[in-house]
Amino acid sequence: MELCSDGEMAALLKAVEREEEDDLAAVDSALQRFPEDPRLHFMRGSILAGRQQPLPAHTALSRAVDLAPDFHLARYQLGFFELTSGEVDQALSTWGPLLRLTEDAYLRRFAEGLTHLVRDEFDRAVERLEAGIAANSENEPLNQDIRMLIAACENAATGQTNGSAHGESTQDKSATSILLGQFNRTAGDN
Amino acid sequence: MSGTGTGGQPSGADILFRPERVEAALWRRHRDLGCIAARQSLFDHYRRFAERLAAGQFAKRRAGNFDRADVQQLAYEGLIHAIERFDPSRGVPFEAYARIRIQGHISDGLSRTSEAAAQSSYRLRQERERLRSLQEGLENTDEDPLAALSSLSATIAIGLLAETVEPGAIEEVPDPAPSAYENLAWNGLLCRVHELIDGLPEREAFVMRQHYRHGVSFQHIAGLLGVTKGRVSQIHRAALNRLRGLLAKHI
Repeated sequence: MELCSDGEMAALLKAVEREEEDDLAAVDSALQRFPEDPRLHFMRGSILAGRQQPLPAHTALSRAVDLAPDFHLARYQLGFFELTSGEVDQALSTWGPLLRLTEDAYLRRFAEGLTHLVRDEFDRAVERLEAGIAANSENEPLNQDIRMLIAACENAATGQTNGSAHGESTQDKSATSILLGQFNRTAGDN
Repeated sequence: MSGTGTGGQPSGADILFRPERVEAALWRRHRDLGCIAARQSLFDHYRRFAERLAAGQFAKRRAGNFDRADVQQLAYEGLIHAIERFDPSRGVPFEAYARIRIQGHISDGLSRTSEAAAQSSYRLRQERERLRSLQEGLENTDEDPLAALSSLSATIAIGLLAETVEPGAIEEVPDPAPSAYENLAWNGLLCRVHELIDGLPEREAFVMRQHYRHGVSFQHIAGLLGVTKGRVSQIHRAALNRLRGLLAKHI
């Protein structure tokens, strides 16, 4: 499997982080040369998710996980994408391998917390999500989004109506950041 | 298409689910996996849209020899065709795509409708369909003819109850009940029928809801479920018989 060079990947990351207009075209161009690089599919999925194009976003994230089953951040994000798409069973299935990570792995804790949340087990959800934040010192954008979810849980528990965590205009930007925040470190391990 | 909390309190699904992704997932499962449940959800989601288009077309053509239910059936048919043919990957919003097709289908359908066909309105066809469904069940019974007729009447009556969507709507009709108490009891029965429908096995509940509450024909339900019209007729009969049994226990 031939992978995109670190230098080219870094340039692509910068373009995506700056939200440059042709960032998707740049990623697609790289994908033509490196069609089996899971990081490029992951990046493509993140851009498309941020652009409200859920169908191709899901395809790209799925491809990243197919190519690199141990690419944990991609697996977490694919499961999260499926969960937010109402595909709860599919999300739990996607997250299955994350639940075999060590107990202190933050992605496992987040997956567990979100599983409690979709079952309306708010107290346990908040407990696991906070444990995930405590364990996650490497991906601050992800922690930020989880904090938004915790706030929505707390609002729901107190009966406040603004329970949705998706009203903020920063949501998709934040999601993109999550996807890309630890790109070099996490994807580089796989 | 999203989860709902109870008592106005947001559920975990309310917090997590994003409607545009939920809909996209339905299209994906329908397109890639041929998932019948996804197709049903899409139909349910866009049913009101089709009904609005039907109402608009009916208002424009009031002088025609057809009734509102005929136009609605054509709208449902157009919606089903649109769901089947829509390619979500092209990025065109479904409503924009479906609007033209549903309106076109209504126009084509009505222009094909001869005066004689129009007289056989949807309502008549619907009643015949229901009766045929129940008669098929009677053919295989050893019941005493009078008892069988009584059962049939009771089952038809349950269908009529199921068709009345809101108990309050009864009050708008001149009240045949001799007393306030009986009127209350009638409304209670009506509510009970609707609760029991919601508790039926999934397919039976789907057929009852779509047919009686939303007026979708057996033929269109068959398309949605991916089964024959005869099978829908059987499910309809089974559902009414089950409801009759449940109501007998209740009363």
